[in-house]
Amino acid sequence: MKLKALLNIDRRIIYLIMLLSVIIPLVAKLDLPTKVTSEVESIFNAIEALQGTGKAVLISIDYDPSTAPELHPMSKAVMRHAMLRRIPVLGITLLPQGIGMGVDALGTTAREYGAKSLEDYVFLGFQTPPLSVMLGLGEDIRRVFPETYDKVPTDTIPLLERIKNYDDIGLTISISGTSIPMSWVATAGTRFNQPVAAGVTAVSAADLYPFLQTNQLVGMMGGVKGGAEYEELLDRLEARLGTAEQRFAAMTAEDAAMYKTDRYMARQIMNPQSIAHLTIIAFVLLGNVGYLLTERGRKRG
Amino acid sequence: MKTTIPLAITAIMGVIMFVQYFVPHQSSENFYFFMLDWTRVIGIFALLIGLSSLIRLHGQKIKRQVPGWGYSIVVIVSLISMACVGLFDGVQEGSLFMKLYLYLMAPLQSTMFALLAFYITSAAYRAFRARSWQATLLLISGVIVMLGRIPLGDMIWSNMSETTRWIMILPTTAAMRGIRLGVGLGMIATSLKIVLGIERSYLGGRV
Repeated sequence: MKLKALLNIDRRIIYLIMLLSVIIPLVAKLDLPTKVTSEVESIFNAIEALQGTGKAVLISIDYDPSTAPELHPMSKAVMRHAMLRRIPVLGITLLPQGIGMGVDALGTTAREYGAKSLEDYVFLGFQTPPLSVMLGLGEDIRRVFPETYDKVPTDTIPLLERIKNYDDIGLTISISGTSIPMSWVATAGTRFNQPVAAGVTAVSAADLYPFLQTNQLVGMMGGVKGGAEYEELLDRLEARLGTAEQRFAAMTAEDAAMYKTDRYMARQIMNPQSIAHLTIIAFVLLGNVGYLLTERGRKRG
Repeated sequence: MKTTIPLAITAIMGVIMFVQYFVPHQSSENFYFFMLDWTRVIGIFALLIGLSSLIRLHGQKIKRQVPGWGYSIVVIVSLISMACVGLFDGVQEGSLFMKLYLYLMAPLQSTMFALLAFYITSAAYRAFRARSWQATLLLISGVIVMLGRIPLGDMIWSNMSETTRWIMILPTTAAMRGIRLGVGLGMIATSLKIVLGIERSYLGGRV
């Protein structure tokens, strides 16, 4: 009877325990360590290598709000890194709902680093269909995007005078919860020899490992963990340079607190995710213990 | 006629684009970029078709008052409201449109996605059973990967994240590569069938 109870836990109890597994680590403010993997570090190093070359980073914000908790922190972390190193950032999106994500991520990071729109970064907005955009960027960015998201004609932007196509882009990063990063590899990577990196949801990461193994992808950030690792690398770099403290000292206390929290977002999300993973494993093990003991009892008659 | 013309356009353009790829001449390049411009224009029209389909579908639901038709009203009202706000107030950072997007739509969509955590837990508890050796292997791999993806995994066993990496880089990649090769070959076969007029489902199922 007790064994059967292990197999039939009410789903409302499961939901309640899962809810507590998420809320408690957020309230308790756990501070778990972040171990950096080579897949994420290689993206970080690729951006570091662009410093002083004049080449830009193209960030394709190919996600909507549903996957934002996983992907938005990694977008911001990459943008922060590029803006810290004064590497020009080009933002585009291949999904209509990604526009807001791009505006928010670029706006927030630019304010933190004092980067200027149209000089240090450009948000080109949405264009479709994706394959045509990826191929068109190999010829002329301004032809694919005649104007920016803010309706500024792209042929009047000095930054785009020297950044014309993939030849002037050192790294393309597609951040997405879809299969779009694979299209970037197949078009920008294969046809134009453009270095491509990806930031994807944890469930999509398995799809991209073959491209990582063949070096068709420079690196990959998988799920919240990928974003957390990038944040960690950026924090280590800024601690070494001493830039973060200088920047925060020049801000109001309110702004500094906001940006400090934002820079820690993925690592903060990792805490409830860690406990949630343990909870799921505990339930799976519980169900299996009940199942195996019930099966054994049945065989014994 | 309705079938023959689209089939002819598809076949001719399919062959031309295929040949163009192997012709390293300026006129070939110009044609290629001209076609890219065209695909972008057609892509925008596809969005308009999607929009009209959405309005027609939900309009019919409201008209017939099918179960759940109230949600269709929410869809139509939200669609028109966002469009009006964007058209009259602009879509720049800090605008009402962006505020509605960031503080209404984004949390709603994130919440919907977050609900998966509860369903996954319940489903994993009920379905993830060691009924065979294959299921047991999957179960063990799943548990290792889940532990290896969190900082606590390495606290439990120092090699947890490295073992997870091994699972992802070797067995998972091998399986995924097989799947991707299959998908790639399937795409080539389907493309050929479309160009040759064998596959016609894109015409809307009329033929």
